[in-house]
Amino acid sequence: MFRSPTQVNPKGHLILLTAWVLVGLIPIAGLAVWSVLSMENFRLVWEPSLQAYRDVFSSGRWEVTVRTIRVAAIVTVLVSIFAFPFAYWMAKGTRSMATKTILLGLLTVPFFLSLSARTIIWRGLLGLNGPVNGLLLQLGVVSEPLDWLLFSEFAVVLGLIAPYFPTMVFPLYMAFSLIDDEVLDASRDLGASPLFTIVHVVLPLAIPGIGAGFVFTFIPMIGDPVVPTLLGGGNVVVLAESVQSLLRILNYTVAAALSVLMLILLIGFISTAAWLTKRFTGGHSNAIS
Amino acid sequence: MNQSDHIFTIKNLSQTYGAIDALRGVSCHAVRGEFLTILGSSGSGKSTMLRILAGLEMPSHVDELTLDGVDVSNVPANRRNVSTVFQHYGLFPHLSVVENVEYGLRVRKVPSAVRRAEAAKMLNMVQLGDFLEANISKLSGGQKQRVALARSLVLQPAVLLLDEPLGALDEKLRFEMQSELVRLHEEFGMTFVYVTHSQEEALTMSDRILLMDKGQIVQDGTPQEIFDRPNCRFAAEFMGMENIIEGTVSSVDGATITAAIGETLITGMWAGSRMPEPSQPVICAFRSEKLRCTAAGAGAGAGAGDDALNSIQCNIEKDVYRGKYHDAFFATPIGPLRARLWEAPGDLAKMTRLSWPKSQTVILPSD
Repeated sequence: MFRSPTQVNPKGHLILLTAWVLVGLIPIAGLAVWSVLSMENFRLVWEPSLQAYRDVFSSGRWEVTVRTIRVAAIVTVLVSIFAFPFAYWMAKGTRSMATKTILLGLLTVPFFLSLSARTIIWRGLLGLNGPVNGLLLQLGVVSEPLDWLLFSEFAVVLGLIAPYFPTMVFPLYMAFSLIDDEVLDASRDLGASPLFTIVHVVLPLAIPGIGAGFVFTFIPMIGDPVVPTLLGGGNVVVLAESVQSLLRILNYTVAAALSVLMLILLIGFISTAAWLTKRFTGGHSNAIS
Repeated sequence: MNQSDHIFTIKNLSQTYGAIDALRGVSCHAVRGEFLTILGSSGSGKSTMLRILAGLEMPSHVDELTLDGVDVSNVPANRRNVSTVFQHYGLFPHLSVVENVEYGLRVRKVPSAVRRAEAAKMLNMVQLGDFLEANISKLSGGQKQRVALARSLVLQPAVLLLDEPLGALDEKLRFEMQSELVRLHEEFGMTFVYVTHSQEEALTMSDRILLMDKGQIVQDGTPQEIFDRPNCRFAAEFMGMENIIEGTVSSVDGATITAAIGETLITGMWAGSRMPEPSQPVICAFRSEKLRCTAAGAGAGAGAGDDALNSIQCNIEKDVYRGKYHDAFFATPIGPLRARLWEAPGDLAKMTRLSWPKSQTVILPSD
């Protein structure tokens, strides 16, 4: 005997909810509690205090937060500029299933290699004696090697583009694929130029995908220490590194306070994105269904 | 007919997709203001032809493709003065009903007050005046169809192209929309090119029908011509001639041909293009509803002896009740024949003779 979907055991929801509270909410709640406790001789004491938050702002960690968001935002914008035409072409430009399959397959290749292994390559390329500087010297573009190519915000931005390209392409590709070909034909048939169609039909219908691409790209980048550590070389400290170094010196309360601030910022960003999505789709939330 | 009466002209149009020939050397035209139907089964190339007229596809080869006297063979869809009503409507799901209808005017940079008024007027004409702000997804199939029509008509295109627009509707709604389309055609006076696989829709609405098969136009004529005088086996079958018998020409008398099937002679009207030679293989085709059956010795009122009728002896094999009528299957010396009997036939087992008018029989070249 099969159970009809409406007869699914309601206890299932309860189990899911319990699991979510255990693995998701309790650690976050713990984090919030720690951030308002104080430390004495590297030990937590149960004495409420906002000292940790004051430390975050006085120790320059606020600058780190701003820098992290700036880098993540620049990379997200750059990645969208590359991903948009690529995903659109893959979804609507090519009819060949083989091309699509190969491209989607290639996009998953980076996930097979460790991020550090892929990132470390840039060091050789961008270093003072690397081929990029070599070429520039050879061509006479510069008279001495550029030192800002590596261990700089430029290097971090460059290094982050490739790892976060697929996370933007996939949701966009899905969103574009879901747009009915007949709707695009209709727009053309009614006299719209390709640009008019993209602005007035494709973009509004793809908003949920654009929102998802933003969330999957921007948010993980904020918590990612690998690329900034390897290519920033200590010159570009970001949030994740900052939290790690705090934990290393056993400063749990400030690490917790920084994490809580980060969480509040992320929730703020996601809510704004969700609100914008809702506004632009004008309540036609079934745009894609 | 003057060339300038043609709203569009196509000469020797071919379209290939890889190894598949969707269209093979099609030539046709439409007269200004005509309701032209392209009729064919799926895969006949009828939709491809419409998409090429719309500019949504560029032809592999065409000698001439003019629209309103202007060569458009290289003009993309967005710069052609035609508009398409799509099979699944192609409505913009993120726009309201009135915004959908306004879309083409917005593209043409019509001021917003003017385009709103135009769109509202058009929606009134398709009886959707109360649905201006409605969400597309809340509409029924018939209402979506009307929005799609309004969206195209508001642009006053030279030609309105309709791609099986009633295919997704239920039967009752389809009849309603058929008369609605005929009304709109009369009201606007523009050329309609209507693609369908339904002979009923084609016969009801069209001024002229192009019957297509395997990427070619097999017959071009008025609904009556195509219904009564299909010019080949495909046309006869497609237009619902259930009884198709192969034979050879026995005698030719003007357009009246007598064909021999074994011992039996069947007389009918020639519908092919070139007159046949004696003993040439031909096909006799006639509709099941033209057949009458009579009992043995029922008198000379019908059956043998009447010069205007073909007549043959028969035995009942099967009788299928279909509500409004019966389909009776008979065994005859020329093979199985089907008769559609509108009145309760009485005892079919006693029926021994089938007859039908010679004028309702067509003789076709066997191709």
